Amino acid sequence: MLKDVILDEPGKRVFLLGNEAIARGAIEAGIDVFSAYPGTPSSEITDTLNSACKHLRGRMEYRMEYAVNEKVAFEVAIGASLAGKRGMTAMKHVGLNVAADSLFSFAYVGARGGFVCVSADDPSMHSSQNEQDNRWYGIAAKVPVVEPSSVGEAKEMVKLAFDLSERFGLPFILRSYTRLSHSSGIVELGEIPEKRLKKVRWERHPDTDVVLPAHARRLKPILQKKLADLEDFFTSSDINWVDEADGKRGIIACGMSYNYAVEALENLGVEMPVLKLSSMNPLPRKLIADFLANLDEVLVVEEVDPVVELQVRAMAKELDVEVHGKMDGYLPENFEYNVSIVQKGIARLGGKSYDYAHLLETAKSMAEIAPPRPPVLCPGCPHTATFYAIRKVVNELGNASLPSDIGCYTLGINKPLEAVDITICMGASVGTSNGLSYVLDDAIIATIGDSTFFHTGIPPLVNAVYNGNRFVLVVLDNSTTGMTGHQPHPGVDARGCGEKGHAVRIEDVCRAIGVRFVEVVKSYNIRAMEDALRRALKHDGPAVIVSKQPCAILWNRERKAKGIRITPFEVGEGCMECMKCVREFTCPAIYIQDGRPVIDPALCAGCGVCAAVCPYRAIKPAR
Amino acid sequence: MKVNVLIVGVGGQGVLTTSGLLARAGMYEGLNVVSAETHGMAQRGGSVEVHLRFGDVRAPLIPYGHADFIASLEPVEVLRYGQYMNENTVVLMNTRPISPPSVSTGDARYPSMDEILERVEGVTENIHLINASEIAERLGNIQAANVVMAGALIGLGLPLSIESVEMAIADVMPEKIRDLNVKALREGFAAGQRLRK
Repeated sequence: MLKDVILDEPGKRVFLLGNEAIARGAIEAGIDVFSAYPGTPSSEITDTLNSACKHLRGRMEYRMEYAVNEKVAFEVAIGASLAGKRGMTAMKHVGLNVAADSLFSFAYVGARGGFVCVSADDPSMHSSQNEQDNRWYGIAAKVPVVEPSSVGEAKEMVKLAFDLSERFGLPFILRSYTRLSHSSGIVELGEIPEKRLKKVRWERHPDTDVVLPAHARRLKPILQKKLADLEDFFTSSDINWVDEADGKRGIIACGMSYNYAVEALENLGVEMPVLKLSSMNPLPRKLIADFLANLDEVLVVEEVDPVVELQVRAMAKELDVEVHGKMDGYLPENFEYNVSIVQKGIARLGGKSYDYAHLLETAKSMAEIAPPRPPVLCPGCPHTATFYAIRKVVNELGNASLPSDIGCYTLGINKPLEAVDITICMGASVGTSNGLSYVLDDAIIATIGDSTFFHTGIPPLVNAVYNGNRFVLVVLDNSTTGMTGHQPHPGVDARGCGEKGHAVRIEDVCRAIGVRFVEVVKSYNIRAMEDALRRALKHDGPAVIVSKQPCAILWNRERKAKGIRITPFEVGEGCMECMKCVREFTCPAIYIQDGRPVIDPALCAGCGVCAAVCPYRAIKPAR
Repeated sequence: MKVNVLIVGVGGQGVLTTSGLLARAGMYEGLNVVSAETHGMAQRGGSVEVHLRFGDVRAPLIPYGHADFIASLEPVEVLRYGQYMNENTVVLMNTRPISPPSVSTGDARYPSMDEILERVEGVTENIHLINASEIAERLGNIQAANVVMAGALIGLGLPLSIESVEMAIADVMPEKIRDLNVKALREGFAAGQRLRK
């Protein structure tokens, strides 16, 4: 909790979420500048630092901001580091793809003030479009990667990463993942340093900070030397250790997997030596070789890809040690691990039998009768109204291609709206629309959220204006970044740390870059939306409709805060039980009871869109 | 000592709050606590699960077949977590259903209470029903059903003291809803004790 994150009581034990512990680590490390774009499972790091900065003002000061995208956030932190200050950014795994360009070059430049980028991976894709392993980025970009094994260690590792970043002049990646970022544990608080955010004079270092070819050629061997020195450090660092035990079979366990392995050994009643690894790049090869020297067989336990296993296999050839892991099927290649999965692999290594297949079988038969409960758009969600209008117009057309983007609104894929055909990555709705416009006879109606529009939606829209590409782009503007927990973005007038910001209007941006058809429509006004769509479809060139209405959760909060009573709607007399409100509009507040639609007053947000949808005008505000 | 508790329900029911209160209570009692929350894409309406582990534990997720207690804030939600149950698992189920949209649109069917019980009893007969929503409504706020459930879990034998949870309520909840939640906790505890007999 926030009050624990800002508590200055060294030695006190508190219960923190992994992401809160990372934020606390940044505060104890005395960060100067933090910048991030939200993305699950990393968002709470940013939100915690956002709330904490108001409370810490005057004691431990830092500047925090919500950036327009991850590349920008990364570069903001680079700026701080090059001026000798501690800069930090946090993003979900796919966010690092956006920032990759900056990452690869900054490795050559090197950090001056400490630089830490938290990459929160998502094994099993709980809320992501792919399951990438960002340790590869460390190897590819020649950037150190550290991976904590617990919530408590996460906090300490943030501090260590800042120290090492300054000592070795290297940017650091701290790899977290869903099971660390979204797990909670007991953390011992350290000291919050007393510090002001003092501005400093700029010192020029063009020989390192400008990576023109002549400089970069000189910087590459320097970078490699830094990594070699860091590897020596990691060999004797206390973030890696060996749990000694007898036997010729052992385990190398990375990050959180260490806990799975230790518990699995306990459950099996087996003892084996375990090498716990938290330095993922560079790997402490001497430490690993010493560990392997006493063994005949080793099992490498890591999530997601066999990053360490591949390197250990290369080393083990010379030492005549047999290596097991993902590559020979001892452990599954895909999806996140847990104690049971790891236990099965360890049992096989230890010649024991352990299987959980029967438990999964029973569970499957139990779950059979449970109706699915997929995530849905909330009651009163303005996107439902917009998608309803889009679906209606598409049905009139007969067919249309509907690219969309990353956000709550991806749920528009669900029946009966079926208003999402393509989702690739942030901003790709507009990018793919450009390509589709060259080859499709059908109309193209793309959707993108407001935060996503600013993130990466603008460059492909510029492309469309320049090339005269014909499609309709509906910006689903709910005045927030909804899915990740309601963070502000450049389109709203709030900034990080609660300051007032200068809102950038989406319609102004579109007009400024040369879009000639730009209309703003209230999302709840379905008829106006349909009319705008019909006109936009006739426009020769890119057409933008901004569908504007605050996120229902924010709207509810705002009304409650102002003491405004929310008037729910009800199905009254005149209902012909046509079920249009349930089967075509699908608000989660409307359900069927005894063959008749009923509105749950506890869920209804009072948006009234269902009243407009009802052909018999039977839905009215409740008295 | 190891105690594994799984709390499940629907987004918006307070699953995360419940687990937060019990976790804090465990910490106040000097126990090691590890928990893991899984919530999907949307803010409301989806399935939510929290793993809560006390004592000599390390990993955030409960190993398959190792849940000591499962509290389900909504009846069918318990059916999704059979892989964590064993024949001794104590299951506590709130009896008020929340119908998912798939049922309203006729794409799926909501099973009867008998069908739900039959499936769970195939694994553990230690299943207890409570109308936590009704108790909370009677106390003045349906939102407190989650705290009723927390109290009932302790009444059923979860080794935490009611006083520790009350301390956690005082530390975590805004003042204006504290008394109501303490009442909900105590009513839940009494109901849990009755169920245990």
